[in-house]
Amino acid sequence: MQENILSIDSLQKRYQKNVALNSISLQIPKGSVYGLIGQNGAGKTTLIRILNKIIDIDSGTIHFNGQPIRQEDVQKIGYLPEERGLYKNMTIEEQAMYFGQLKGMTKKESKLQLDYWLNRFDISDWKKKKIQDLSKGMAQKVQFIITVLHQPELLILDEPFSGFDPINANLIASEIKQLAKNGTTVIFSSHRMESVAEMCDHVCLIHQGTILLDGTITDIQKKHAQAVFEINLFEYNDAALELFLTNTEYTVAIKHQDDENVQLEVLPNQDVSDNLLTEVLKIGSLHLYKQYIPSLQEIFIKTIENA
Amino acid sequence: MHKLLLIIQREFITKVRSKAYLVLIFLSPILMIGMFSAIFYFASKEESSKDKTVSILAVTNSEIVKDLQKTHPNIQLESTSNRSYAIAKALVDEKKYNGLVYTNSEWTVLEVYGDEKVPKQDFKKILDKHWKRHYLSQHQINPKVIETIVQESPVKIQNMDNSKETVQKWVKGTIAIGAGYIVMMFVIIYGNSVMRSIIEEKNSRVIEIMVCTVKPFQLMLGKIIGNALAGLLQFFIWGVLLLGGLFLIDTFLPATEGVDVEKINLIFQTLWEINYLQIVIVFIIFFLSGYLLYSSFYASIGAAVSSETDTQQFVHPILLPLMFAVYIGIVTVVNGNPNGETAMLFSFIPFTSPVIMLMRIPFGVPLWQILVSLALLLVTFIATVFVASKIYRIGILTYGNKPSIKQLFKWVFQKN
Repeated sequence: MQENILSIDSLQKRYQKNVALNSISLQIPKGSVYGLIGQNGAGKTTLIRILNKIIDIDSGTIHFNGQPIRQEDVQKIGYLPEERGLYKNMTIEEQAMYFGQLKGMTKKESKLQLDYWLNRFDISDWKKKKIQDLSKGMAQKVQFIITVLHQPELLILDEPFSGFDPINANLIASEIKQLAKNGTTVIFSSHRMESVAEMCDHVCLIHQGTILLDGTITDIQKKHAQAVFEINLFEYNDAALELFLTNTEYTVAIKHQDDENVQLEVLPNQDVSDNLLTEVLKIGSLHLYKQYIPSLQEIFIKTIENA
Repeated sequence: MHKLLLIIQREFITKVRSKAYLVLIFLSPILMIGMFSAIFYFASKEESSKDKTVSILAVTNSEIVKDLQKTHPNIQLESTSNRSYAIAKALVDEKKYNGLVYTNSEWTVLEVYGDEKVPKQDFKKILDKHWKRHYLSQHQINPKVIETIVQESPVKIQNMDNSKETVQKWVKGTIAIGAGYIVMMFVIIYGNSVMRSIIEEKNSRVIEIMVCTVKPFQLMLGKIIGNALAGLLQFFIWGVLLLGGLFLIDTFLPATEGVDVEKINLIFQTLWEINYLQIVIVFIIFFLSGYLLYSSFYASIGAAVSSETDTQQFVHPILLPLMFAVYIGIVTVVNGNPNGETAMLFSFIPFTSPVIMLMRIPFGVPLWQILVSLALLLVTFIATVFVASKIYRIGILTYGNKPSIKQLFKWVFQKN
């Protein structure tokens, strides 16, 4: 069985009359890249702040590595908030020393790690620069370094690519993947579905404090895959096509048709579609036979609309 | 504890390294000395030129005129003997002269008339003397007897030799007012500094990373203590500069010509007699307690608002008791009653005690009063830090419009 770094059970949080998190339960497997998705005000930030022990819970339990989460566990978490910020009048080195030590590292360890990351991003000469002298993108990179400096077991990234140009976004993405490969668990909170789909293996959709979807991307897509087939036939037989169109076992729509080519959208009326392939092969040469898989974006929009 | 020390260290270094701090330490004493020197210079200039702008019309005999000129040589005196009283008075009313000294030949009207610049009492004495002389000579009194009588009588009022006491009172009063004023200034400057530092953390959003690393209370306390240390360092540097300056003055000033050596020596004797250790210890304790009390308010204001412009409404109520304390302190010290009921009452009230107790210290305060005042201050400080930390932990993660006072009260009781 896969071990979970975080197990959340029946977590409840209210702000006066508003329910921020309504009895949510989820498991985050160790080493996974876990996408946390939801609209503004869905409860993502509240959940992240609870995990960081910034705010208290009303009820429920959170286990970190199998044990009820304690204040000390926050040391093992690296958090990159959506609203970035560092001390403007401190140099990168001072900043790294300060945050590194606050996260329990020694000065020496902080320095070593800082050098490693500065080298990795090829920005070693920035060390003595103050944050106020850096561009927004440069400061974002430093912020990422500060977040991962203490080699956290769990990395919580809130919109990690915002403010990055495409080249630097790619650079950061490959670093996140590398960290995950080395065993760091990543919680990836974002609105951008394409980056979630690219980065994550697990996702969770929060809407108005409730979890609407949770699981691996493949499972979710499989679950929401419709039984609609896209079929392209070449050198088709008119009579056989006519016969197929009248077959009561299927609802068939012609998407495109010319002398040589026909594109069909087929919905089997029963759950069984085992015979479909045999049936269409009788019509002509098969070019495409594919079950329609909706994108994450489509699944999420539809799920929220139906919620 | 380690984290708290790190925060204190960062706050202290950031504060001490800033240009504003260096300016405050070295430039403001120079500015203050410059300002007081300017005040003394203009005041003494005013004093020496006081009589020069006064003009008097003397309608009287030449002997009186002579006496008038002798006692006030700088006054512009115009003497005449052929003006009626009404005309002479009208000239003063028209502001042609500041005043009038009038005597008629029959010695029935003797009058000094004029505005506030005219030394009327001095002139009255002169007229008294001449009237007595005239009266006695009319009654055939021996001129020798007359001269003896009109001169000042041998009766002398001998003042007790209290010059030492006066100097002591003056020196202690200066130290008292100075200490109280400095505490007020330090509380305002460093309280503001805590507030600005929190607003900056909030605006730069670094607060979000900080609160997931340390507890909000630790962060607030670290800021408050870090700034307090910077304040103490400043106090220490000022203290050294001041004592060094006084030592130099003590060494070199008496050797300068035209200086009242006796008085200077007395001042310095009083200065060196003062128990500075007690003042410094009490200053540090009361400054820290007062600063902790007020800075926790400043910290919660910083946390509650999103920009410095929003702080005005909340900062005013904090400034009022501090300013009130300084005024009450100055009034009681100047009135020579620093151990009276008013001063004692306000040196027990925690919001005024840091300033007023310090102002009383140079005059000697019973130990029990210091301890009671301190105990009350500490209890209040614990209560305010508790309330402030509640507002702080909600405020630092709340952005947008500035909250109302009602909302702040709600935050105190809100669960995190």
